[in-house]
Amino acid sequence: MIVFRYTKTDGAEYISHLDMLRHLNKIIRRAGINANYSKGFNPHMSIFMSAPIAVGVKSLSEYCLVDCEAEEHLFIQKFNEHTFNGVVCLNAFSVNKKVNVQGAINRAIYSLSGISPFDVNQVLNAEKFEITDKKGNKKDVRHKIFNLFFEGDLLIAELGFGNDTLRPDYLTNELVSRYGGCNVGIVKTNMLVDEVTFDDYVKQFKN
Amino acid sequence: MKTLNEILPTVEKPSRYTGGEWGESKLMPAKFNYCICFPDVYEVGMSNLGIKIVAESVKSVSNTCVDRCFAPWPDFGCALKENNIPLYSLGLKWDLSKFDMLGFSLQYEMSYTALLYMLDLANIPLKSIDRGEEYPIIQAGGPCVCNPEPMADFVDIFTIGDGEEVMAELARLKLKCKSKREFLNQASELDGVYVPALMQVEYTNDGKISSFSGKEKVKKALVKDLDKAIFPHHFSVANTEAVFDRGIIEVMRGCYRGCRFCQAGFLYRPVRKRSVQTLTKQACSILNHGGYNELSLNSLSTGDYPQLGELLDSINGALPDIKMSLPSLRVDSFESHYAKFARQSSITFAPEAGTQRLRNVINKDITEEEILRGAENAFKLGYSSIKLYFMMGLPTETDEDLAGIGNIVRKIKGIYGRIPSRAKALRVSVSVSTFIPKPFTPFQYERQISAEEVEHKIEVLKKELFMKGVSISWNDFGLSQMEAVLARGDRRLGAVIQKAYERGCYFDGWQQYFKHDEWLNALKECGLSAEDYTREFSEEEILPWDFIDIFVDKKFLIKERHRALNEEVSGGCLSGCKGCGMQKVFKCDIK
Repeated sequence: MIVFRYTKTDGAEYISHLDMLRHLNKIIRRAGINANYSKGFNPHMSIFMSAPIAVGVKSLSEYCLVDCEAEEHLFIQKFNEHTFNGVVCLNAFSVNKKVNVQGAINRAIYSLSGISPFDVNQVLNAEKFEITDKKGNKKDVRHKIFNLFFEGDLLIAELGFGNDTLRPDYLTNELVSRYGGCNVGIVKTNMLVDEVTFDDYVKQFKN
Repeated sequence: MKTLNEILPTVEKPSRYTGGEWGESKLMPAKFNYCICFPDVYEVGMSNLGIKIVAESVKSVSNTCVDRCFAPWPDFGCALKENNIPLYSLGLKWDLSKFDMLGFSLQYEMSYTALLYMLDLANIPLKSIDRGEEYPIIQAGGPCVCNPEPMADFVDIFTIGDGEEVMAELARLKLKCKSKREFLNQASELDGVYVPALMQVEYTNDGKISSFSGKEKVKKALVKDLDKAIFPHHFSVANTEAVFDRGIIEVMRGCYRGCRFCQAGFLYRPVRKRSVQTLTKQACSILNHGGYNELSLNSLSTGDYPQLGELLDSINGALPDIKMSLPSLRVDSFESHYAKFARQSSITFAPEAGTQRLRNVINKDITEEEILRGAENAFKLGYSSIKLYFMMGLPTETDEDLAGIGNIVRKIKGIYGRIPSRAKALRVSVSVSTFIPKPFTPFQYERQISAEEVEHKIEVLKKELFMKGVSISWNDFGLSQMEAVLARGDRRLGAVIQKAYERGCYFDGWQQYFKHDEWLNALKECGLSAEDYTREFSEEEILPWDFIDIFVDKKFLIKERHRALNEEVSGGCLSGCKGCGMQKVFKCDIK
């Protein structure tokens, strides 16, 4: 089995999660990678993606597990020869068990641009931090914010992901409304299992 | 004012508007820049084979660049307008007004207003007369332009018939010509080209056509050798799921049958086929390049392809893991050999009429036994769901014919009951559409039924089909009525289409956006009514599309109409040449 990390940038960030699943299927088929299929009436490729991100959020760190036998470097090469704009395989790990790419990941790191500078301790030291969701409801999400710091003009945010997720666009909107600026762009740069990057987490299952 | 990047995350399916698909090469502007515009949403347009063929044809000429644009969904269209962003192409990201020529594909009458919508979003004047040399040439093709007159005010040049060769010729001509005027004058000499500005139509006091002046007859463009005709080697893979997310090959063009209601059956005559070898090669190239796992074998009646078994075996040998779909299988051509490749649970048959008498009228030469045998074969293969397509409002139809639909369904249910190994309960979906008398068919003279008649017929059908496991659906009468008006319309409808667009009608093919009342008001404002076009036409009057020559004689259509009214079956080409007129220009290969 192969776990691979890929990007969603250059326009591909507008592709929805389900469409992305179809694209990964097609990329793997046209790359000639022999994936295994389910055995039902309508066989499906055994492929598992990490949890969805909001449409429009760029990512340098999406993960997918595909049930196939392939050498890591060949997988990356074939994948990248048959992929399209913005979807690039960065890394691949041949693993000995079905890694739960959806369930294991519980944090993500984002870089948010366009937010006016502010003292991050105002958020980190507060007991509550309320945001407004799509339906207009106020929610306390302080427990989903693990870290915030500025790196030049970029605000780096480590947020809850997966089962207890905090959408970075909601956080950005709230920060913009409090401290000014505008949402220029959001990029997911990494995904974590607690404090360990997912790349390092997967390495323990390597063949 | 918002930028495009700010708008995209706020609209539905933004990947419709970003381009960059797998299979789309990076475009470079050339001497002749052509943009294919599809007047429907991205997912529908990306599934269309016609525009892929046209793109391939223009690309085959050097110094050309072919781009694409699809009608934006209303949410994105409104955002573009509010923020003053002109509609742009997906490859070069150019404003549409920058191109030399925009080519619209008119697949469906109800997409006419979407052409206006796209021009409007691109800040291009709607009417040809208001567009000077600085604006692109507006070209239109596709099956609907067999009657181009309703769109004559908006389109500079129509291409009628097969697009493969004529589009390349137009590209070559455009590269040579210095002005729009010179190009249109010279293009009008080509077969398959109609320039409305060079033809005038005179009307009598009662609104009928008295004469045409200009080019005597516009002959449709005809590709004689389909096997050698240009065809795309690969398809680009749509960013968001296309309605047909699969590879498509065109097995045949034209149909041997001669169903009297079917416009495509007459328009696409004569029957031309591709060889098994060519088709297998095309299938492999398209599927391997795109990564599709499904292939559709398209034609008007794939079951009539003489080497179908050989073709299926050949494709299955080359591409063993793929799923094949065979649309347009006729009841009598459905055999277990074909069905095993489909791997589906639902089968669709189109008996079209409920009784043998009415099937004779429409020249659908299949019997009830054949329908039932087809269903039985499907059930034995494990199919547990069947869809049946019928029409209502066909010429000479009575309540007895509608009751016949109920009889067929009851018998099909009976057959399923006798199948020994049934995994599920049978589901029968009956879909009934209102008959639309279309140009270039023997029924082109017939009237369309009224709203009251439709209401009565639906009541009869509801009573007849009140059975367990049977569902019935029908299409909106208003939509069928407007489709009939636009299909049978003349040049006076240009003003109506523009008024309807100004009243907010676009994306009319999408039920939620169709505004019947606004269309009726637009007709009324122009001093017209729907009945002017849905009435019975007399065989003596000049029809709006009479100046177009699709090589099927008008006399033949009239003869067929009389045979229909006498309940006589003519059969199709396979039972002997019926002398439709095609043989004058093409040697039909009937095997």
